[in-house]
Amino acid sequence: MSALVSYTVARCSRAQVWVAPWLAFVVGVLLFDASSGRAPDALALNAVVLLFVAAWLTLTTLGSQAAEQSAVLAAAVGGARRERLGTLAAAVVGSVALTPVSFVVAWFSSRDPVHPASPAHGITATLAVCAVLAHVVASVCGVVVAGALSRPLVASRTASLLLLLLVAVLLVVVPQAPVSVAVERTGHPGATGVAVLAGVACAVVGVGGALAWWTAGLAARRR
Amino acid sequence: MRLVAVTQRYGDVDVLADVDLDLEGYVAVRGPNGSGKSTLLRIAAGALEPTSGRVVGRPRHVGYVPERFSPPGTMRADEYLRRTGRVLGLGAAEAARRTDVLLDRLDLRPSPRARLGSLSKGNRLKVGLAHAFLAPVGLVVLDEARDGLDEAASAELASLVDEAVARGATVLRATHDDVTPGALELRVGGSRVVREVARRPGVDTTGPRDSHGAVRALVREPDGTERALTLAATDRDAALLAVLSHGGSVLDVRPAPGARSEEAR
Repeated sequence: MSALVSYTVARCSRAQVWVAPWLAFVVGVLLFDASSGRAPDALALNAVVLLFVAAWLTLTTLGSQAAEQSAVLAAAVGGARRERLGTLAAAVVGSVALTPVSFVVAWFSSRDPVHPASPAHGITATLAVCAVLAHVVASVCGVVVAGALSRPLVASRTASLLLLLLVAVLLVVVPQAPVSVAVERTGHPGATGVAVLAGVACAVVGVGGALAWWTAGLAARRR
Repeated sequence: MRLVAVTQRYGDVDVLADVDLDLEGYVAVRGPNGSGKSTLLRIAAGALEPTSGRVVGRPRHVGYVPERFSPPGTMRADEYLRRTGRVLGLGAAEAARRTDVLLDRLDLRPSPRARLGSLSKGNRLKVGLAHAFLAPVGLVVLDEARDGLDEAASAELASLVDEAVARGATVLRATHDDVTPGALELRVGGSRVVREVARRPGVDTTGPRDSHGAVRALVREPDGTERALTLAATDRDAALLAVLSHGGSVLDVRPAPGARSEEAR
């Protein structure tokens, strides 16, 4: 499976299919972080932006490979379901890879009101852990949702985009949704925040993985 | 490997219905366009999960060449094979070594470092074939993978198939050609039927490798289809007996073009 993820990352890099979502993320976080002021708020906002970018990146990853080539890889890796899961895992990698960018932008745009001269700009170790977990949660949620709402499961691309937008917004605005929890805890970092976020991240990876496996099975029957 | 009660439905149409098959050795799949050959091959390869039924004993890694091979155009041929070799379970060094060997055997032009998008159809297909035979997998599935190949590459493909079968792999191949010696021939029909016709010894598509005593035979199958077969001397009697024992007729037998007589040996 790791070989398939590596292959897919290489393919997407060569074909530059991730350039547009990556640029959109940079532009998005620059716009949001300029107005946020505090590092925890900036990083929390970046995780929200990453949710949408991860979904977009997943659609481009799935859509940039010919069906015949997917079949070749499915046979090589041990089944269509594993191939789909490997492609989604590559999308998670492409999405989580934006976390350092998020930190750099948050570092430059934040001002620590307590210690304005602090070289860390208010980014503590606890906040860093919380922010990384929040970015992982947002990436996995975006990828799993996009994987479930894309071809061949949802035939129409317009319907796919509308459903995707609806679910992504719900994941942000519903108070107990994973991304909402991640964003809220990133804004208030602490020992409890880390523990809660680690639990949410584990649950999202587990449930998201199971959901992705199930939808990959549906997709494998509709090729 | 076995297909057990495999059914594939597209909409309201059953392309395959309750197919039970044992697959071993070299298996040629024949049938008219749209009869379900490619669907059968995709299910066997694991590229498609059937609507119902299951595939038992399929190897973990399968070499598969689809009817239209569409690799990523921006990747170099050698890089593509090294990376997909890893997906097939090879180590990095072994994948690189096998890539060099196979691209050399298949004579990829202009060079192994060419981008896949810049290759001609035939050369792209060579990359697909190199992928299918890259690792010592237990199953190789070829979906009419000969169109666009030159004569030398076709001969090399025949050798690769022979080598794979010799080491115990199953090779499943959709073809419109005559079947090769020792092949099990399957007929796929639009009427949802998959019928095992016969394991045919001695039937060779590319002409006998030993032309001494080779014959060209015209046979009529039980369903009335007439076919011309080129048979090697060592296989001809068994092949013609097999045709007769399955209810067919032998209409004509004459020396194959270019064949030397046995007396001349």
